[in-house]
Amino acid sequence: MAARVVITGMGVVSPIGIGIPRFWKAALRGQSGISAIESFGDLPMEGYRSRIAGQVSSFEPPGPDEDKFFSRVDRYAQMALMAAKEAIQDSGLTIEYERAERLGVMAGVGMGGMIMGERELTNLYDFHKPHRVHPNFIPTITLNSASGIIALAFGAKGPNLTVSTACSSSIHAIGHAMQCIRLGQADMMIAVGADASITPLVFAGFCSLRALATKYQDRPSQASRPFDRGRNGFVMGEGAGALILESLQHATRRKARIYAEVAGYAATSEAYHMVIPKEDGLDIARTMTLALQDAKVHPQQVDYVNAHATSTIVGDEVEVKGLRAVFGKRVGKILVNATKSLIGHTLGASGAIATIASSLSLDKNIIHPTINYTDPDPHCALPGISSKSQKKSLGTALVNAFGFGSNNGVLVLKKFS
Amino acid sequence: MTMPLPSSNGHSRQIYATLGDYLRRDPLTLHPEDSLRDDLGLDSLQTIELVYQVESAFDLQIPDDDFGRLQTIGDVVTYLNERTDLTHHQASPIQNPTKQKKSSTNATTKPWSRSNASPK
Repeated sequence: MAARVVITGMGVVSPIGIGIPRFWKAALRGQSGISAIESFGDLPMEGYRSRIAGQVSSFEPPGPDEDKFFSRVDRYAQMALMAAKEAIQDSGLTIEYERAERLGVMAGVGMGGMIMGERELTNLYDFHKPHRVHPNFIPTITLNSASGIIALAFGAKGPNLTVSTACSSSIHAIGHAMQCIRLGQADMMIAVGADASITPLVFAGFCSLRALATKYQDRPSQASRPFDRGRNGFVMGEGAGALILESLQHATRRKARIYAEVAGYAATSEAYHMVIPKEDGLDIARTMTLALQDAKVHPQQVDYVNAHATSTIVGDEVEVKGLRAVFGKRVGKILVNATKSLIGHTLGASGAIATIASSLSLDKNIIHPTINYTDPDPHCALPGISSKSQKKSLGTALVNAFGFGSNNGVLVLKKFS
Repeated sequence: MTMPLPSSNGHSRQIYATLGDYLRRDPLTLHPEDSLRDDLGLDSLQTIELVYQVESAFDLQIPDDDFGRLQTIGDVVTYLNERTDLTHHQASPIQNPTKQKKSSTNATTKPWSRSNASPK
């Protein structure tokens, strides 16, 4: 029988706070982390259709004299490392007493080291000096630099992998971390999601894709509004979330605090379009159903869904279609919220941060509000969505994440008992 | 005790300042006989980074064939003195080494917010 997998530690770097206590407090009171982008240097901001983002303005990694790992990687991996440190500390794991071969790292990353990437590319084209490209350029921009630096920092010698599936990356990372433990490849996994690419080029790319919110530019805190009639795109964010996954046996033996059980996971493809979800929502529904089957949980048992809900017109509507297909009339009794209403879409970090929010909700029987849900869109309005936090005894939660490239991922979390 | 900065050669001082900047050490604590690997603990990538910093500061390229010569601080100083003499390079580096960034990758330095528009 496969091992049961539980969450025993969490850490976060987010636009509404660094560290779980700050993040959760801000989330419950419905604080927005969205603000105007000050500038992209000399680039004309009026050339950007959107000029707001969920920025972690207070993020200050330790300098090279304090910590030898942070300065070797790009901002996204620094955030991942900081979140992982908090998660390890929160879990109470004493790494040096554990078997290094039984500790692994699974990272979810969408964009990677784009700050270094854009800087070096700019310099190369500006100054035509190929020999001046930084020697750390390649190890920094490779998408596995976060998982690599975390493995180094904690001496983790188990699986050391990165999943890159755009916006859903860290849901799949958590799912695969769970699978590693189920398959007996590890007893403990640091599952982390991270992205920090609010950079001139990446941001311009999302603008050109017409994926970003262009309304409420003068009121940034109101721009990310999932399920609301006034939504017109997502707000890009940055951050990282980390979770310590352990086999139940390992966690029990060391009397660890358990936030929730990761009970099920499913991954599917729509094989439909690179950036647009299929309109009937049936593949999303299929993914949720498969994850529930994996968890051996009946749809009737689901109390709460942390929706992918990026605040795009089509995406939110399709996800609700999927929810209706899975839960039928009972959909009205399920609590639903969107973490992206608070922090924007943190891309590769979003699934991990949503899983953290959901685990805290299961642990504390309260879900954070979906802010700016003031004028429910009839196409995706549900009774369980609220602009206020909601208290309810929660037993089972779904966390949804969908990504460019036509991929879907769903996790099933259960209150541990 | 050996004085680490040989003579009053301003060029050498700038070389030491560049090395000290990368190593995050007071240049006065560096000695010509210090081995990059054994005394300063640089691994192969860090040695490449050090050479990169030197190349950037003095605007020159160090060919792979010359890399093996650079085993100690003194080797680097001698080599640079030779190279800059040969190329009649200006006495002062193109960039003030003391103003170079401390981070070994400078990964957090956003390109659009850089204050120095010159190439590295």
